[in-house]
Amino acid sequence: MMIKAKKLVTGLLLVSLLLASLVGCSPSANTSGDTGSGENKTSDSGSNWPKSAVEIVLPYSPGGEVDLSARIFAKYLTQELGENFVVTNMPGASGSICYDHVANSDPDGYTLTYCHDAKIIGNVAGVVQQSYKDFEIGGMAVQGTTQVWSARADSEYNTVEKIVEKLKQDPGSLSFATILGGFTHLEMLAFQDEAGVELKALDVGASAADHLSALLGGHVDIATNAYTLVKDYVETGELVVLGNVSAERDPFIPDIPTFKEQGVNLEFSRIYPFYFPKGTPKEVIDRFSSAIEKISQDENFIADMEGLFLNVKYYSPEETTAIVAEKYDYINSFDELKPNN
Amino acid sequence: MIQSIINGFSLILQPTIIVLNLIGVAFGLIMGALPGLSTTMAIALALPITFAMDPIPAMSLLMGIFTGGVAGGLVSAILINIPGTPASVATTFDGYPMAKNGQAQRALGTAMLSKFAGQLLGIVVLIAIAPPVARFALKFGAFELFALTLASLTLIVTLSEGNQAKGFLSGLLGLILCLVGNAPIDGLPRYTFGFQELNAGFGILPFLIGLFGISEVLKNAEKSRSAEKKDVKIQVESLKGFGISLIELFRQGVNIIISTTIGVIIGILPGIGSGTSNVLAYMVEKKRSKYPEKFGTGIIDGIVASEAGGGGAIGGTMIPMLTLGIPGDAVTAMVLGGLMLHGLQPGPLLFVNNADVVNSIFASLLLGNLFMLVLCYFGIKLFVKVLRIPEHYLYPAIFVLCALGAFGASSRVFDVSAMILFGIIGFLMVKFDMPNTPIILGFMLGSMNETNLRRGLMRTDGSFLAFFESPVAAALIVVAVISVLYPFVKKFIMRSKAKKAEDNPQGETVVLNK
Repeated sequence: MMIKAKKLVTGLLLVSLLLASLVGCSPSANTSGDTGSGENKTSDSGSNWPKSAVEIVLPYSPGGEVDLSARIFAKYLTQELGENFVVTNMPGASGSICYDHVANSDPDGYTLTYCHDAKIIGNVAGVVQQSYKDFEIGGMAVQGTTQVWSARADSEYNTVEKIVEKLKQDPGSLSFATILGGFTHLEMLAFQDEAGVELKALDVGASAADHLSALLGGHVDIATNAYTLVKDYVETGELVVLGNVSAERDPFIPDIPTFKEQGVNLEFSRIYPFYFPKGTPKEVIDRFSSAIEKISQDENFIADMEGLFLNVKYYSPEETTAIVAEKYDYINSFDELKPNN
Repeated sequence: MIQSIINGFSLILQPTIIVLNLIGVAFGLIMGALPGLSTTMAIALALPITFAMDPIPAMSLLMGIFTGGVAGGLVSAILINIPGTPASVATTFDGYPMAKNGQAQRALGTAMLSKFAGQLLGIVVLIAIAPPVARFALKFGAFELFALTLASLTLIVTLSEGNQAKGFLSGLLGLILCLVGNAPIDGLPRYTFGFQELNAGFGILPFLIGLFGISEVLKNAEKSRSAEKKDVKIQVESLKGFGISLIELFRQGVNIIISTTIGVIIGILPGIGSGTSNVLAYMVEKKRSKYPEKFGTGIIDGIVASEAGGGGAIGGTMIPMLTLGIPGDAVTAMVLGGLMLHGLQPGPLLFVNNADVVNSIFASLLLGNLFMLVLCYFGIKLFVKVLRIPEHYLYPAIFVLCALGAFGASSRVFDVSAMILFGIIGFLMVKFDMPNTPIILGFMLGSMNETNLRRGLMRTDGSFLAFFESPVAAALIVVAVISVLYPFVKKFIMRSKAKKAEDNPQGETVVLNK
């Protein structure tokens, strides 16, 4: 009996250990402190990086396009650089739990984060403390321009023209699904500025799916979403797309006109840069960015990203930093985004 | 409906796909049964493996894990008083007392059969009427969700009958704990005392794992020091099969149907899943029962309600995910991600454009449910052996698993500390004889209630009255008010009746003489 019980317990412990390794606590974060202290750490970590698993920490739960595209990156980076790239999800507090963790990790190239513009917007809005200046930017390889506004087809106000006209007569009479301090909020503010009108902001929840259900359920008049989410409803004739918020028509959805074509000057795209902790050696950044540059020419990688409606184009760390800085300055010009406003 | 089931089975009846489903169920059962490790985690681990597969085998595996994982939680709920997954929280209320009375096998059998029945009915509802039902659920906006969570919160009153002060305290503690972190809508940090880690608030998993798991470990640690240590060696009656007869199960028919319905409805509604539905089904059954005082002492009614309520939610949460592309909880959000990676976007046209995948999902769920029952049938004798493991081996292992589970939810060491804190709170609550269901309800529903209240007020520009414009919301608010006042009114009426009888004893005799 005792022996059996012991076996069971040993089994249990083994399972738990196995799971511990699977669940994704990558050992990388602390290794450098023990082994690399002292002799030529910098040159070592730079030229030989990566020597062990690299952790990509994400500010969101599994499932969304950030998570899915990060996993695609992880797959190709593992092939390219010969060490495991592990995706860890650390959601919470608009992403700041994750950014705080990465910003305070050892700057050895074994911990990084990956996110779209929500990080920059959250920073301006005061819900994210860490600015892009608190990180070394490691370049980017994908962008998205399929964010569209849509309304119910049976609504009276289902074109940009009608909406602007209605709002001019009666400001705030149409509602828009948003989360304060998020991407949707920024799009709304820019629309208001450019069209000279006022929408009524309604919080309906953080996820894209929440926005879709609020629009379908008749709780809001207008919502903004990735085109993939509304595609089916456009085909069934339930929703109509008002316009794409990007500067030019997206190659995946060439039939959808932009807001710009319709007289409202919106120019939004989503960028997906990689962020390393401040002080990460330049050699690491260079090796990483040349790896994603190489991957971005791989046809299979491009096809995988196309599955998520993401365009593949490589930007070097310097170019990416300039783009991020420009975005920050633009977003920072919206005082309504900032706290106490 | 029959057509789609036949079509689905014709697609999945291939050796590899069936084996994947079976592996999924077994993996899910193990992950679910181990305290701390949840279905969500099991699916997160399997998701990367499915990337390389075709959509149908991938879904077969994921659906297997889903059905197995939600079922696995009942094992540890009954045997060691720690729900393996949130879907089995209420199973501990009667399951563990039964196990202590030597009826572990009977409790397990009842729970498994109820889970099977609940899941089966839930899946049938999913297959039969998914699209119209999902449409209806869309109409639930901020007003309705606020009213629904408010009405559910008032169940705390029902729960704590006889011990109202402690019940309220426990419920309020839950509500206070869910306030910690960034506020909904505007993101202002509350009760964080400047600790960045607290901005995200407390996670539901560290909370539940601490409250049940760690407090149980602490209880046993305390017991091992005391003199009465060896007396309550749990005896296990050896029974054949599930330890419950068909007739007994049939007597629970109404209970199963009502509880499953609650599970399905709660599952369909956005943001609430099996974690809440099993507790609500338990409460409703207790309220409906002719012998509510027996609940909590180890009767099968409670187990049946909890498990059918938790099982029904499986079909329920899948409905909005498949038909609208709107996941109801963390698990379905991940399944949605799995579908998207195969280029399938759930939505109204999924049933039209990818009927094969949808039908194979239905068939995989049904097959997984069957495998779950078969594996449980053979596993039941094995599970019961857990009770024979000496406590000094068992509880340290549980502690490790709990810590792992708390960490795994969002990879934060902070969550492990939070879990230990909740363990201490749970232990103190046992010491002070405070019921723990109110704190769970308060914590799980509190933030949803607040968020939807604020969203509603944002919509009405601050007017509370507008909430009553929605008939559903108005009705639910009235239900909430009545259920808060009812016990007091009842007491008042009974007291005044008794007073009348005392004041006027002759009056009664007069009446009698007539």
